[in-house]
Amino acid sequence: MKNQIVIEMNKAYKKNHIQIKDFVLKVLLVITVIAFAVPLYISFINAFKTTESIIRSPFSPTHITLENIRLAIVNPYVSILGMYKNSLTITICSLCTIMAISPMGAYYIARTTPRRSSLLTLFFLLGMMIPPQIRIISLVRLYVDTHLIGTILGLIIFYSGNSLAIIILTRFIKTIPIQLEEAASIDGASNFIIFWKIIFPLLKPALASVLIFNGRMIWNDFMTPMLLLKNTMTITLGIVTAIGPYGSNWGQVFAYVLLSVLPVLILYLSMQKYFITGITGGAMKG
Amino acid sequence: MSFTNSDGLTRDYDFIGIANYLRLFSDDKFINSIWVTTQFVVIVVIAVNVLGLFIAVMLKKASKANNIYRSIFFLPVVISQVAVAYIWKNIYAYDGLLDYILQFFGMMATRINWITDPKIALYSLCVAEIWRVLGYHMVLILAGLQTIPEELYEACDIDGGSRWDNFRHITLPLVIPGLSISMIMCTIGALKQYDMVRVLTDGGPVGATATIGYSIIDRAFNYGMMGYASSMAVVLFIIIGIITIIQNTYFNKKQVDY
Repeated sequence: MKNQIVIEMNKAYKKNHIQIKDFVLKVLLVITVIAFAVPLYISFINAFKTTESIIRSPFSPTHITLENIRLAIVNPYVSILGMYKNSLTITICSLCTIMAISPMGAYYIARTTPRRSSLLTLFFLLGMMIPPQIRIISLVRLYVDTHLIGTILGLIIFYSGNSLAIIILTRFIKTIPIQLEEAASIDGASNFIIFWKIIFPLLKPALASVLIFNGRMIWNDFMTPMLLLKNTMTITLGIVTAIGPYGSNWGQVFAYVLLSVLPVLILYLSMQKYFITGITGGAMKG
Repeated sequence: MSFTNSDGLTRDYDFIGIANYLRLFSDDKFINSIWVTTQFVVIVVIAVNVLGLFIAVMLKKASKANNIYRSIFFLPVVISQVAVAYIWKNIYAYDGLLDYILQFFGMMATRINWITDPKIALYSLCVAEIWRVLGYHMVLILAGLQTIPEELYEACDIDGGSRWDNFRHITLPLVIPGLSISMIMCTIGALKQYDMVRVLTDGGPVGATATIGYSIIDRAFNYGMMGYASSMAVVLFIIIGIITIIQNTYFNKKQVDY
């Protein structure tokens, strides 16, 4: 009887103890989240505040104005709309090319002899691991020689050769049962038909993650357009040029920043799940 | 290309053998950038993975609040590095947010030059980088955590294990595969880092934040030393390869099966 009471008391104590610990951990988590979210919140409201009120009272959303955004759009020296157009052209064209090329490459790698398959996989894995700095130096030389430097076409070609897409798609195709294709070929379908009618439709989920990953990467890229483009600007490159190295007109700065991330932000908020799996998916399978 | 003295402008250049590589090891700037990069990578990788593990463990259970937290943590991953750099530039600025907070609590006699003081700049850069990549690695670790079967925790509870035992003896050993991927990705990412450095500090003050990824581009295109920069890039590639192999073998040894 006495033992029972002791056990009960122990349990109650332990439960209480755990609750306190739980509470402390929760508080810690919430503090982390808040500390983490403050920069996001600040930068969002700053786009709508005058520079003076940003410095005086950074936290409160006072003096809300759309003036920054308006100035950023109508600025005669910086054509935001032109940059949007360039960025959109580059991103969409590159994604279309990736979507057309990489599944075919991946299909070949997945279905060829194991020896060739592993060799080619290794080749594309190396392409992923090599730091972009190595590629870009030789690439600039190559582009100068081929007169692709400074053109949007050159940038699209650069983005279209994408190792990550091939790796992810190869892995995915390997999970598709080969019997599907055998059945089709018995029915008299050619390789070409098999690929477009059977494999390609099955690739949708993998393609979605490839497109999201690359779309974000291409839109946000700064180094490659900086080195490969001359007078044309993508949006990410453009805002850096527009703001300049010593820009401290913060209202203006954040208006540009907000404008440059807006499309990605809207897409992210509307389809978070796809974004999170799309962006991390490559690493988890790789 | 790393064996030539190309300057990227003229068409003719000579093959100069390994002279570039020999020069690397007597170049103070290069040695400095290696040292800066080492500090940068070590701080970022450790902080990101420790914090990421903590947050991932806390956010493991799917609930509405946790989902919101997750998407907040993931947001900096989605926006561009340039945008992140400007956000932090504002925070670190002379009249910026950080100084405002410190002054508000009266903790500061003089203003601190967060990104213009050579002693502090690198750490400021680290904090910004940690903030940027944390969400990504949290999700990677989280994916590792979710593969751990729930029964193991129940077994541990029945055996009278405490919360800490749960973490120490089940979570930690079993999350190693997820953690190792996250650490490798984090290392490679930090080694390659260019955009943030360029916008936030431009490698300055006096090279205090010139990581190797930044120095390569700086040398190649601002100094016109393409051949030399190529050899730096090759060294970077070799470093990445070695680190990946070491981390892989180390974590494979630590991996356990229950």
